[in-house]
Amino acid sequence: MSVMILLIVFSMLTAGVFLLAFFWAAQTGQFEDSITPSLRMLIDDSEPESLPADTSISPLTKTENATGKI
Amino acid sequence: MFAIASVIFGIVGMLVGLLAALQLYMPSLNMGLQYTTFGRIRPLHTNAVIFAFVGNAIFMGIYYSLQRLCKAPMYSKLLSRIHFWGWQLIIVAAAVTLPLGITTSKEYAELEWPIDIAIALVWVVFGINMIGTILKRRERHIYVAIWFYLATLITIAVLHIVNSFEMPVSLFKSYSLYAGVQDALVQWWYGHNAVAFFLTTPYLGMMYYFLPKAAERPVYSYRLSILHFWTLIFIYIWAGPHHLLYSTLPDWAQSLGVVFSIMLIAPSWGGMINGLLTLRGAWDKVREDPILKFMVVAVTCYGMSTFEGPMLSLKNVNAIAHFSDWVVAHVHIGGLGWNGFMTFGILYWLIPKLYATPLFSKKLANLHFWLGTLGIIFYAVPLYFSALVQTLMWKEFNSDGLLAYPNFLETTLQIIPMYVFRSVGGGLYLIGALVMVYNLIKTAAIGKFIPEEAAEAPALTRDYTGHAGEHWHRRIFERRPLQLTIAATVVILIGGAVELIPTFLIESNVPTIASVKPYTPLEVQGRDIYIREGCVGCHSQLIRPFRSETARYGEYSKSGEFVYDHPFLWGSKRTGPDLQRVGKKYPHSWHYHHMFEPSNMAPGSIMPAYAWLHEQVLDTSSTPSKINALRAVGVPYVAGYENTANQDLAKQAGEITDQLKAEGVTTSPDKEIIALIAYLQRLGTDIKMEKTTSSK
Repeated sequence: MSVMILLIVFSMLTAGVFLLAFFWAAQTGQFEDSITPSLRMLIDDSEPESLPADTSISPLTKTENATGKI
Repeated sequence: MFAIASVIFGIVGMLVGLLAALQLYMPSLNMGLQYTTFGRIRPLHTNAVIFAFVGNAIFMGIYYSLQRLCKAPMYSKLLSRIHFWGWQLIIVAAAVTLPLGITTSKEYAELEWPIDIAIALVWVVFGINMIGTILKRRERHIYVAIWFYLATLITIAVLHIVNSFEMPVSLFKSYSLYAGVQDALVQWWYGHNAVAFFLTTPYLGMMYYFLPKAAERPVYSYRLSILHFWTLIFIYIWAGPHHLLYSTLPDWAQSLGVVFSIMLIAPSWGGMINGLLTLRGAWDKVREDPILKFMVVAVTCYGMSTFEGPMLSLKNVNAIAHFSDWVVAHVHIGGLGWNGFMTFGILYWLIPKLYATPLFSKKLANLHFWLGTLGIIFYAVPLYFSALVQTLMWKEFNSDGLLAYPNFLETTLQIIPMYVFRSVGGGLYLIGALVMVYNLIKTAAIGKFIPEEAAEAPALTRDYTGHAGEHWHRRIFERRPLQLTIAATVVILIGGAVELIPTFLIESNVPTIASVKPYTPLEVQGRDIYIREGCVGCHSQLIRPFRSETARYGEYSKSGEFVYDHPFLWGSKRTGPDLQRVGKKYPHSWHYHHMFEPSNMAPGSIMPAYAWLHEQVLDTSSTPSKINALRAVGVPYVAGYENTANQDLAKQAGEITDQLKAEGVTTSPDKEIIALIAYLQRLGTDIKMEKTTSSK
């Protein structure tokens, strides 16, 4: 079953890459905002900005994109 | 372009699938041609629907959504074009090579080594394009869909490369680096994760983009999406051994697979719940909108599949379901329901958008929906019946303690009506897809294609001051996509080489059985014919430790018996009986007649005829390179044996031909059928030699 070593190493390598990616994401604030991303993706740049009328969350401000945040 | 390719190949893939389904009760539908037998077109069907239909749909979905989520155009138009045409060329290569019998026999990895290399290269191009786009994004937040796409990119690369380690024999033939039980494990580590990271993660990513867009509602819980993404990708990798339960894989590895497969229900259902609850408050829209209907059924089928899968991974359930049609049903609920329907939903949403016109006919889309849904039901339900009927018949003993149905053929004949229903289901599904093609073509005709939307978003400020003590990594790599990608690729290749070379040199520590010897040259050629004809698609070679199996097939399989099997041929399905111990069970002439026309020896058999084997001359010029290649991957042929191998081959062929003569069959020793007979008669006999009793 020596091939198990190969598979475990590759799986751990892959998992490790994703673990690092997770840490990067957490440190750079990717998880800070869990509300606006789901709303923002609904807006197309080419269409007049509009949010669905029946969401109960306040509309995001337009300045959010321009400055971005780390 | 990817959308069109996906649709075209979707129809092709479904057509081949329908042909295969029909052949299961009308084997003569191959029209007497070797290129269209079930064994050869089954992998054509799986490759077409997975890589051509789903694959192109994935790229369609990613290329559309990634740009909009990143608020940036694709990194490189040239790479996009290379990616597209490269991928289509790979598909064409598959369509040509698979019916010719050029195959590795490893499921969803059947394409031979030159195409494997092409896949890796095109995948790297895709990766550079995708990562480049992400790094140049103008929306700092990386939406959850993009995480799914990234997971797909990285993991598929690793899986493909590791599973494709093979020693070329010639331009069109190679032997797996791994053998027997080790090959089985690598294959199903790959196979299950192909399901996870090709059929699931990209589609979850697409669901997170296209479902909210189509419903005009935000995802139910963004937090849940993050949580289930990370847990999903960590747990999925370990589920592979559930394909190998009750095989000769060590018990602890089997149990690991079972446990992780059960745990997988949670993150998978996280996705389903998120998708379905996104529509809360909007179910009236679902009633009216065929796009949402497709997506809702898709997500529901995803949930059903990801519950059924873990259930099938339980050892006691698996003992009944493995090798039966239940697995086929399970696969098609996921494939037709989740992948197919989600693709259709996205196409119906996307094509009108791309052509700036409403969908040509909502009525036809609804018709497609109902045809497809009925198709799925008619596909899966008969196969559930078929599976239960067949496995229970396989396992039944009468009161004398003997098998109630000792003749495998009896179980096959019982389920043929179910196969007819299944093909009706597949046919309905295909008709639905054709209705879609008509609808989409009409939509495109009345619309005007928008090649590019102007998109303006301010660039992310480049010279933000990082936090104090900014990591060197950021400076050197994270703002330089090209360097990052090159470095990453180099690291992966180094890692791969470091792992490959020791494995190459290490002797397998699977317990070897002294009496198990390498295949003779003639048997090697015969085995390669077995692989070429796709016999592994219907016949398994793994006897599990159940009394019903040992009574029917003989002693259960030991891992040491497979140490020289490059690649392993355990199979996934018993449309026909297991062959692991078929050696010396029947006289040579039985095999000769059976391969010529199976119903001569087994009336009512659904196995196609292989009459060309009795005509075609065996190509023995390949013998020396085959021996060399096998020796390179660890089979202990004596050095220099390749020079005399063909003499042994001729001698053994002569013996078989003489024996056939004595049994009343006249043929010449250079025919392919002789090689195949040699191989079949060898199967499972090595450990029988140890027994000194008169058992036969």
